[in-house]
Amino acid sequence: ATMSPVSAASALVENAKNRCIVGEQADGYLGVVTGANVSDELRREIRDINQQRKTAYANLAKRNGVTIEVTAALTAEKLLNGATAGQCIRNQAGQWVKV
Amino acid sequence: GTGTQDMQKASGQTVFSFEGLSFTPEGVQPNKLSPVLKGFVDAANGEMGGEMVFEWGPNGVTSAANFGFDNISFAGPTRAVTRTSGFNGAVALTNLMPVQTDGQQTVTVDVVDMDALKLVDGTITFDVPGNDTIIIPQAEFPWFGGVIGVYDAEASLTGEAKVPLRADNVDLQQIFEYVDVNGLSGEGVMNGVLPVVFEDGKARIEDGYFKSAGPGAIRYQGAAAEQAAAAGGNAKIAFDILRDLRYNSMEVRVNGALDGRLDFQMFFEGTGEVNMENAKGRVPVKYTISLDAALLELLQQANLSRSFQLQIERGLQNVE
Amino acid sequence: CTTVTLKGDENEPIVVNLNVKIDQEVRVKLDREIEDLISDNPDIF
Repeated sequence: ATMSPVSAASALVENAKNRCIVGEQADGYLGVVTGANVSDELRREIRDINQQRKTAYANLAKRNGVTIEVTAALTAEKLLNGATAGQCIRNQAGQWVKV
Repeated sequence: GTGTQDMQKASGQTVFSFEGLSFTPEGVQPNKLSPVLKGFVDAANGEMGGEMVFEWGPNGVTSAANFGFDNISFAGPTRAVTRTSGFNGAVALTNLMPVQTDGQQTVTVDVVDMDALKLVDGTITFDVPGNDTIIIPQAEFPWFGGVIGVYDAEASLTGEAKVPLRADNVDLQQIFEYVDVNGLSGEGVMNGVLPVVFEDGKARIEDGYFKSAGPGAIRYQGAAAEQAAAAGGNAKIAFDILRDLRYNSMEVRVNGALDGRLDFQMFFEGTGEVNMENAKGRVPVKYTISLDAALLELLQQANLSRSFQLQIERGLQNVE
Repeated sequence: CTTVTLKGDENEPIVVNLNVKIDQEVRVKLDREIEDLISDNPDIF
């Protein structure tokens, strides 16, 4: 199934993603691109989204008898594939790569 | 809230007091009380009461608060703690931005859920001095018949933090009951330390260890033992010994991510029973079990015989 | 056949190393659930 390209996370984060300030990581969480400087407000927004993702990963993991790392990594695969041109993603090795 | 205003010195005070404020998904949330809490402590439910006092004057605004928490549950603190529930007690703050407590505060909590490590029914004394650190003079939880706790710890609330959890008088039998692998039992008492490292929203155990306090035993007569008996050779010997391995000393080393895989290295020194056609008897053994497991609960579905490698070294030749 | 009694010997113990790996069977079903997780929570994905 194809993934809808534009996720509806807050405009602040969406904008930061499109400008390679913030990006999806292989561990299933949003990360700040190395070297990018980020406002307190954006940092808290990312922290909030990541906390909600952890809860979602934990519930899914519990239902399927696997660890949270597994559900987070499987979700990350789809999120990385769904990243649009110009966005930055962080691969398994921890390097930021521009799509 | 009520307010007083002193026009001359342009200073004043506003007091907000509230009872039965309930946190609801769409309604009031911790980050509305203080934006600093966004993504730190959130998705709360439960009720609280208290009062917040804002004073302003020539040198800016100061804020203080007294909160009474009634069975609050929330995601956090930090992403490393998936959820804290049954949080009860009164907390006095001398500042809201940054959050600063009025010295040591004591609360009780039903569950601190850190995925592979769930701490239940604890009492936590903490102090947040307002410099992005938290001091924990003591936090203690009953744990497998013994106690697990934090004693005189200090940790950063923003950067990496290492919090040593000390475990005392842990009952091996209760651990086996919890793990509930059929055919696995044993008894013994252990003490140890689990250093938990919190970094980038993740928690992991780094160089955790348990040491036996006195002799004990580990017994396994489950599926893997029967398959090994049929296989014969080293497998049979290894699992014969494990049927009733009485140890004089045992050490367990634990490492791994609490939201991922844990690696256990278990070293036993003691005696085990061997019975082959031509060799029977209880002999001294040095037994090492390395267990790479996703979650303790997952052990129940474990078919131990499915994936294990075995290596038996010397010691078998001393057949009389 | 004769039964031989193994004589325990402190400095010649039997040394056993047992490595056990517990694997998680990640069922294919999880793929569908992951798709739903993303589509059901647009505000965080």
